[in-house]
Amino acid sequence: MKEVLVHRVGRTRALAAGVGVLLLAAAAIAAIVALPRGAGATAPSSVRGLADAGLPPVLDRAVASAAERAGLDRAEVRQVTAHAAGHERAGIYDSAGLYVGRNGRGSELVSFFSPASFSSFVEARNLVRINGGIFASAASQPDATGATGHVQLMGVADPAVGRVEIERADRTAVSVELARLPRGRFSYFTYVSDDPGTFPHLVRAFGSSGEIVAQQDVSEDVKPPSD
Amino acid sequence: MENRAKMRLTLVIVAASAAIAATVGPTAPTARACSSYWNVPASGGCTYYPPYTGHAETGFCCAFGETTRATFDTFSTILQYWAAAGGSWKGQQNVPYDVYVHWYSSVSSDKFGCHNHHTGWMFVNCHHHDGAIW
Repeated sequence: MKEVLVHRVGRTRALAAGVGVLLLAAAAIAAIVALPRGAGATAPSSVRGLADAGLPPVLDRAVASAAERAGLDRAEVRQVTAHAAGHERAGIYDSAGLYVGRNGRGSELVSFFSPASFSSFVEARNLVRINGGIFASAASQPDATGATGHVQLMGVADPAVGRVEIERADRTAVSVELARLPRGRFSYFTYVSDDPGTFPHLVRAFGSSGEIVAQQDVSEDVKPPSD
Repeated sequence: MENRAKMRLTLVIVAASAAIAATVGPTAPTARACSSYWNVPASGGCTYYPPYTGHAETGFCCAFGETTRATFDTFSTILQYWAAAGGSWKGQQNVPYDVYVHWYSSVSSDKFGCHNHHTGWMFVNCHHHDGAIW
């Protein structure tokens, strides 16, 4: 009788342990599916002078004029450009990124450019205040059906930001390269996509200890305007 | 007598509440209609048109370049965008308010404007400049 009882207790324990293992496995699978997947890849940017940017002449003159208007020396302005294999041309200029320079007072100024537009120059320190550490300008253009087909993200990060990650539509995440001017304080990043699955949804900035210091939701910014 | 006085007081309170509600309630329909569309005429006012109609004050000008800017400050950012003459969407860029966006297009009938993507209730003061200012 005692032996039977011991057997039953043993079987129950084994069953409970088995159920526990199954639950743990299910929880692990759920966590893997539900959470953004690790930022394994890095979206790189390149930095070069305006003279080496290969801008169409009329655009080159326009950017130089806007830079001078903002008190920047054209020769000192750098172009931070997105790099992406297979990126489709979505405007008269085939790239997106930022024009960055430093004025006479030492302030870093930024202009965001897309394949179809560029913004006036704004002080980086004012931009990063908008979301408490980062700001990303999102540009988008339609595909053949009129839905969003091309997205470009151009961003600025506070000096305290050590890493920036982009969570995408398919819940994968990618780290972006942070570029700086020589002796620069702020960092700049870019990201482009022609695939709805990898369109950016959320930009997250991490501090030096790995804690999230700021984030910006850009999912609505890339959708066509609705009526 | 006392009951009648109470009823009068109740009626006064109800009437006053209704009057206050009418005053501070939903914004006039025109303002709401304006807010979900785009483009403000140079003269100001509240004449917005949905992009697909092709109505716009910001017709393309001068062969290369058109500049748009929104100066409202309730929200931190604004969508500035680009449409074909018929109103179909060609592109947009999200920037902080009071930042100029210079567009480059080779199609002389293209149009440009601003769209408040935060809420359908916001009046957006969108300027445009014929020929880019850079």
